Amino acid sequence: MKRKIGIFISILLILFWSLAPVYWALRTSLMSSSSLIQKPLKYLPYPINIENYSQLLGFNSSQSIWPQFESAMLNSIISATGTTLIVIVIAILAGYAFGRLEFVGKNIIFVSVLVTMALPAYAVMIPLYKIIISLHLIDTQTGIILIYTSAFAPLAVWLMRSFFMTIPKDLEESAMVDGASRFRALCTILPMAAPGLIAVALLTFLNSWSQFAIPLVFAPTNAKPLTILITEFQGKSFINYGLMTAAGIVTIIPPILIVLFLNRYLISGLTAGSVKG
Amino acid sequence: MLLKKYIFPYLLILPLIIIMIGLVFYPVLVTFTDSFKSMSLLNPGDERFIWLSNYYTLLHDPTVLRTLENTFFYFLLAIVGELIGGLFIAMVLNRKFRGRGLVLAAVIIPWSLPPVVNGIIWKWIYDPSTGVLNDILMNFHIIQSNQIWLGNSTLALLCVTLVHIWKMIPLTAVILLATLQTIPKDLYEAARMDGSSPINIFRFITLPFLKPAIVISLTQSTIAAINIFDEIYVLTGTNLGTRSVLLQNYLIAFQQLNLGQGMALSLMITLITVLISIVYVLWLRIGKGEKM
Amino acid sequence: MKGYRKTAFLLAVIFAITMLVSACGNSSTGNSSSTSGQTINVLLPPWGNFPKSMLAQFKKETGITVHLTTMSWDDIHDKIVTSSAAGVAPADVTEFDWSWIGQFGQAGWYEPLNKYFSSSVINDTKTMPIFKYKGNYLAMPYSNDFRVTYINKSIFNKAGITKMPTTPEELMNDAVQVKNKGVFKYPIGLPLSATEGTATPWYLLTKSFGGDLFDSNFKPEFTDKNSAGYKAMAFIISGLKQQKIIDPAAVSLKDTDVISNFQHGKTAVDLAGWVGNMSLYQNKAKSTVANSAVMIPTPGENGKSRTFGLPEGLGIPKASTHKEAAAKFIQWIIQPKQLTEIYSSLGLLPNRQSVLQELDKEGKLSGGKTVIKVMPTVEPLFKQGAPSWYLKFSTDVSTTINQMASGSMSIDAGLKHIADNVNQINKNN
Repeated sequence: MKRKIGIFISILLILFWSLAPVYWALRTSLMSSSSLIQKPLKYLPYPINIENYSQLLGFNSSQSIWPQFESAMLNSIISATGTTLIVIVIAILAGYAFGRLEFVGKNIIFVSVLVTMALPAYAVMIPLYKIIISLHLIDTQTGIILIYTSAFAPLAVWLMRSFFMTIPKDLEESAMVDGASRFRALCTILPMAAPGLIAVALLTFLNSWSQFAIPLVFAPTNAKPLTILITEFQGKSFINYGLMTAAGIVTIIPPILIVLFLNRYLISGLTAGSVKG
Repeated sequence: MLLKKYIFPYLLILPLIIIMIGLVFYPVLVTFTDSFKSMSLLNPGDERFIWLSNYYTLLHDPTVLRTLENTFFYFLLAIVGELIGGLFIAMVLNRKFRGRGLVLAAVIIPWSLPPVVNGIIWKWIYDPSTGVLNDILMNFHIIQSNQIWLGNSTLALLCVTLVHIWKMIPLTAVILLATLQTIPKDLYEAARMDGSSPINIFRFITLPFLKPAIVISLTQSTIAAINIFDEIYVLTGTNLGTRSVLLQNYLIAFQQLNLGQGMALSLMITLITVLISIVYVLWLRIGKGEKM
Repeated sequence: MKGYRKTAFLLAVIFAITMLVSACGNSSTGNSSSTSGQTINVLLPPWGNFPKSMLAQFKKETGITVHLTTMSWDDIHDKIVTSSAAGVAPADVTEFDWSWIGQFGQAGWYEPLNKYFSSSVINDTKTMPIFKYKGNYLAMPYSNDFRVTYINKSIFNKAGITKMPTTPEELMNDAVQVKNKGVFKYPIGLPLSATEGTATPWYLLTKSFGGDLFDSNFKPEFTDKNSAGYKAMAFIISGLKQQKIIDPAAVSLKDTDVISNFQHGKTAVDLAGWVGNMSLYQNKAKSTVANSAVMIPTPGENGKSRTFGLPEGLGIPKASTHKEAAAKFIQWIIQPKQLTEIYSSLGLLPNRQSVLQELDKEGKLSGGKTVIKVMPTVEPLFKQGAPSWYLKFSTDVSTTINQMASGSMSIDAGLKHIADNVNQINKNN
């Protein structure tokens, strides 16, 4: 019983830590700009003001910014999803090679890939810009997805490698006895690394989702994502805090849905059930 | 068949290698070369090798040193905060309870917010006259008058670090949680049957399994902390008391257009990050005799 | 084999998507001798989001399609730098801030516009010289900005002040009176955080105190105790520390916060306000000071008000492949009809004297009389043009002011620090 209360309190603490600032954003997004700076402070957004949301989602036809918002939302979803899919494939293949196979130059290649994680985006911005221009990929989803992939694949590969390494060797060897190929062996042990795979997918998606500096330079117009669009909700003499926070609140919905969808694979004890041999 | 066996690993890493060479290694090579040149966009004609001059100038620039100092502070606080917080969240979520998925979704929200929105949220929390932090602390009589959270250097440094930790904890939590999930359940059961205490279970089962993941998440926290930028720029601008080395790098490269120095500084940032990460890896090796 | 097939399928899908998207991204550009039928890209900050109807009208008249991209102002400079460093045009027409002239001029990224405009247009555009680099005009201003002072009249009246201040001393005394009468604790609004907008009030006050920041060789003139620059800084810092007429919280306020505070009646004076803000302050729906906000020329030494211009212009990058069409667009946008429409729809104040007078005559100009009166006195901040190191300088200034305000540096040490940095740059050049 004591233990249960401890966990309950822990959960409350975690929820408060994660959500209290977000609640404050929600409240900001539901208030008019003049009531925002009124004192005493209002902890509840009352009177409620949904103007920011109607402007964002196009209920209010005169000042609707839904067309831009919709396309930015789509761009964000496409680039994050595209990156995640490609990174997963790359990470499974390379993570398996680095984790379970022996080959000449393995360590040096692995380490040089990992080291690139430490590079600030600004370090390669200008040379990379020239490359993307020469590939005619500037302001395209392909360009953005490729750059994200190069940025997030190292972490994904590292994680997949370490997950593959925790799986006992004999499992895979038994799969190979009956003449199955190495590739087959990879597929056999893949389900055991499922939590890792899901974690990689989640990390890659979220990393891509909140990118700012890269899309600013490489996807300013046609492939413009939400993170960039939101910074434009400011005039010369005012910052539209309400609209920006409203957009922020809407922005967190897709990642939440992804987590709710993926969490059953991440935390459901899949490993125990998958040890069938 | 033998050939196939030798080539197979390379085939598996081929997609990774192509992308890395084209979009990372090659540009880094350019950056590396440029860091030895006098290269300012303001003097397009004047481009010559000055070798270590850029590095020398940077290391003797008091502003750069100050920003390195600030960044070191961010790094120390961030890795400790994120590891403890992330581990705590992962351990709690590793238990079975109703609504676990929802709690996980809540946990990742800070990380999925666009950087500028993150900045705005905290601006409205820290604001000296209409911020909620002052309001709450005043109501509980913890402070007597409104504090200017982002005014004083030390206080601002702490406040900004808190924002960074808040944003980055989900990364550590997800990595550790996924690893906790792969620990075979029977190990725990066996240990419990032997009558091991929870602390011993953590020390001898959980921690060894978790170690590689801890190294990965520490590395990620380190990279994120040393590359801290958005939170600072939005909350305190170019304030010298909070300015990070990456922000200084940005000012040198994109504001002063001194690309040579900019490139040199970003490579120095990379080097520092790598050196710190090597320490983690060594810790892992000493502990277990395993590679990375 | 199931797993293998799945992976292969996934790879195939990704490959297909990649091909498709890259094919779409590869649009061909036709090159015809006439500009009709061309498409130009225009890159502007959010407040330069010209109405769609205007762009349609332009297309009707010239056959040129305008593809307008907006980007937050802070980010446009980065975008221009990255593109130009790679030898690519960021767009065919871009935002060109007054403060970029020295830098972009020296880097040689922008096309001289002299040949596209008649001398009558150039003479009518009073802020044009600000965009001059070595005899070439690199941009055409489309949005006017100079600084004035806004006073909340009813707060002043409450403190028994009826005459608006004309010198910095009067302004200081008035503010102290407002404070002492208990009407307002901190009457003067100023940003003191380490952000761009913090430097502006100091520049403006330096002019007000009758001096300049530099001599003709860019030698700093603000370290001497009797210099205008020193007095201006002393005005700000002692206003904060001694007279306490500036809110200590200003060390974490940005220029937009200061505007918002004045707009909601939380300060009595917006010392270095943007001239275009009058329309915001007078907007009853957004402002609580609509009836009490008045615009005055910034108080100056011996009653002589001075101010400087911070206009935004439109420039054509040298790497643009549609220069003629781009020039046509700029020529069109600065015609009186378009400028009037931009003023009424976006609130961007025109730069052309003739258009301003016309607007005033029709009673459409917010704060009209003051604007017309101050406009001819608008000077460039730097007589010899903004230097290539201006951005570093202004970052230094705002960072140092922030340090002085938060007490980690004295006025003398701070101003010396700023001057040393400039001298260092001068020595290296």
